[in-house]
This record gives sequence, structure tokens and C-alpha cells, in this order.
Amino acid sequence: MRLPKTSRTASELKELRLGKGDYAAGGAHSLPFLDLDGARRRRPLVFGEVTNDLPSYPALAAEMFSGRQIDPAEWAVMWKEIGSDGVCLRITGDDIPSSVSLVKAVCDRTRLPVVVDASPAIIEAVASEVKDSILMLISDHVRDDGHIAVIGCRDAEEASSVCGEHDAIVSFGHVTEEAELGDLVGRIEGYRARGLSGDGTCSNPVIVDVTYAWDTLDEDWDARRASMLEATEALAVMLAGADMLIMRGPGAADMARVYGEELADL
Amino acid sequence: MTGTITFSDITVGGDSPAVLSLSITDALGPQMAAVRIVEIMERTSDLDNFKAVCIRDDISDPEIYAETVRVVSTVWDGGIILESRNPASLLTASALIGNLPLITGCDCTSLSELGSITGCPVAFRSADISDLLDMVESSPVGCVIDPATDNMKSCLERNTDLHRLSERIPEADRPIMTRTWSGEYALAVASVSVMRYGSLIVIDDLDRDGCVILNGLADTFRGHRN
Repeated sequence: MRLPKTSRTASELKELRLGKGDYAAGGAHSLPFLDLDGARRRRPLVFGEVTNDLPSYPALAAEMFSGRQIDPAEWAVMWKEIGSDGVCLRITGDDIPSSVSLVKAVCDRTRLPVVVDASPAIIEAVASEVKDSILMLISDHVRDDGHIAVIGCRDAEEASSVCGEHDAIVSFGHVTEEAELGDLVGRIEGYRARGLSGDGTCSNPVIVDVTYAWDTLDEDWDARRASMLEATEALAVMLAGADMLIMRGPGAADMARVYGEELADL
Repeated sequence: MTGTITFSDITVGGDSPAVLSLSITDALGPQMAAVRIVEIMERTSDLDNFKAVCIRDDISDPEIYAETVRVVSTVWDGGIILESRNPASLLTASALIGNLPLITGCDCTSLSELGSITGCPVAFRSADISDLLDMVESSPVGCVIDPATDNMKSCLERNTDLHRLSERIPEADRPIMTRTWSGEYALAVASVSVMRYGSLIVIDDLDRDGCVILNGLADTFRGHRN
């Protein structure tokens, strides 16, 4: 049977330089991974989660970092050692000097792209003090200080309206229950579809936090099951078009990286 | 929306969540096959999308295969997929099952003949999409199409290609089946299929954790596959 061509062409999405400038996210010109459409051979970047608030961090996950989790900078270095592309640093509290020092230490010691999730006061202090790395800062507005805002949006319409054509990284929330994964995937796909059809206000890279697989555990769950769920959710959002993933379990992060490499044919 | 077929009173395709199936081999022998089916039932009894089991003929002896099918079908009242390279095994075994099973595993000509004789729907398998759709065109019975994916990448590419073709060629408008193995990588391949248009997923084996995760995905993505 003679078959018609099924390949599709699309506009190119925005590519952003991160960290010391040697990492890039975004830049797709097709649906994710599809050789059929001439997809770019690039996998999503995997960011390992680090926090300075261990008491509220799941013990099941903490056990996997061999004691290095007690020092956030050391923990970030461990993520680099196990192959992470970046670090997501969650800072609680309002100690600005120590927070700035921590971000600088993580940037200097890992030389990886860093996402910072902290209070607005800490975010602004970090933005003004760190000049040798392009940080991704969780904020509610776009930035023009050389760093990139990570902006939470409900859907493509809000992302278009808040970001316009400014450089930013868009987040459509996270999965808190299995049933919500479909909604999240739908939001990412909707945004990507608009960008690929030429809407320049929907062409920024997308980041997705899949760590919440570990927060939904009940007493029957163990680390293996949580890792499998986190890796599967990572697979779902990368197929939907996520450019960056924030992950908690080292095993899950490794699986997500391997999945991305296979799908991108690297 | 894809076309549908029915086997063992189970509808595959359309708006239905992906139908999931674990496998039993006749190499276990009838006694252990009985143990295996009970184990599968215990593992998946609360997981609504595990509606079928695949009984695989690894010995290629029609009598042994038929005995395994008989043992399983006395305990299991869900969907049955019969898989064999030997048409005689499929013919003998399909006669033992009241509700028409899905048959697969041998060449296109044999499957079409078996379909005509038994009335059972069939699963055609080929990595060549053009060949696969030729098989559909010549099929006298309802069918699912298996693009013979051997990894996540080929699953994504071929399922997407078939889905796009289904909008333009009636032969491609059939439920897509994915056949995969055991363990975490099999879960990944099955997950890609569930998220990208797969309607029937046959897995050699998956532990309870993997079954729970895959079952949840099948529910979540029922509205996204079409």
C-alpha cells in the first residue's frame, strides 16, 4: 500500500542559555522526539532537587544521598557526580546572606545551571549578587537583569499574557495526584502546540517539577515504587514537551535521563 | 478516535482506556499455569484495566498448549489472547474458549484463515507499516495492528505514524497493540504506548508496583490518546 507522508513542519521555539552559558534549553521545532517530524536530537535537562529544610523532606528520599544531604552544597555536588544537568535549590527561611552564599557555593562548585526557589527577598538578593551564572529564579514576573524567571501559569493563555515575548521559563504546576497528570500534560501540550504553530508568546521552554511523586506516598510505598512513579511521570511530561525536569530520586533521575537519551536517539 | 474491536466481550480502542494484559507461557506446564493465573488475578484484581491475559505457546505442541488454555480458562473469566506461531495450536485452543479470543503470533495468511474459520479477531504484526496495512486490507475479520515495536523510540514513532495515517486511510483506523517484555524497561515501553495511542498492551510480566502505575496511566490517558 502506498502511504501518504505524515510528517509535519512547525515553527522553532525559543532556546535559552543557562548557567555559565554552556547549557541550553528549548529550541524544539517539532513535537517531542519525533524523527517523523525531523525532531532535534536533544533530551530534556534533569535538575536534581536540593533543600536546606531537611525536616520537611521525605526521609525515604533523604536516605539515598549517603549523608551528603546534610550539607546543601555537598548535596548539589553529588547530583553533578551522578549525572544531573542542573540543580534546583529550595531555600526556606529568610537569612539573606547565608542564602546568597549557598547559591554562590552551588554555582561555583557544580558549574551547573541552578534553579532557585526561595522568598522574594532572597530571590532579589541572589539576582543582584550572582553575576557569573544565569540563574533560573522562581518569580511572578519576567526579569531583565540577566537571569531568567521561572513563572508559574495555569495554562497557555496565562503564559502568553504574563510572558509575552520576553525570555522566561514556564511552569504549569506539578502532579499532586495521579489523576492530575493528564491535566498537566494537557496544559503543556496546549502551550507547545501554540508555540509550534508560530505564536511567539508561547515559545519559552517549559520546566516541570515531578518530585511530588514522593509526597503522595502512603505507608505501603517504598523508594523503588516512588522512583518508578516519578520516572513514569517524568516520561509523561517529556513526551508532552517539557524541556526541563526537577526530580527528587537519584534512580528516577537516572531513568528519566536514559529515557530522554533513547527517545532523542542520542 | 480509533476504530474498535471486541474479543472475549472486551472492547478495545475508541474511547476505552488501554486494555492491559500479562502473559502465561505453556512452558510452565498446566499445574504451574494454574498457579500463575491465580497469582496474576491476585496482583491485578483491583486494577480495572488489566482485563486480559495472553497465553503464549512456547513449546509448539498443540496438545500441551490446549491443556494450558483449558486450565487458564476454567479460572479466568476475562479476556484471552492466544499467541502461537503454530496455526494448529491456535485452531485447537480457540475451540476451547466460549467467548471469541484474540489470536496472534503466526503469519498473516494463517491468521486470516484462522479468523475466517473461527470468527476470532486477529492481531497482525509487522514493523513495516505498509505491509501491516496490506494485512488489514485483506483481513476477513476484525483486527488490531501491532507495529512490532522493540523499544520506546520505535513505539513512539510507529504509533504516532499509525495514528496520523488513521485520519487519512481507513485501514489504519484500527486499535494499536504493543507487545513488550518484563521489568522496568517494559513498563517504560508500555507507558509510551498508553500515552501515544496504544489500545492493547501485552506485557510478559510486571510486578505489583508496575501494574499499579500502568493501570493509573491507562485511566489518566484515556482522554488524551485520541
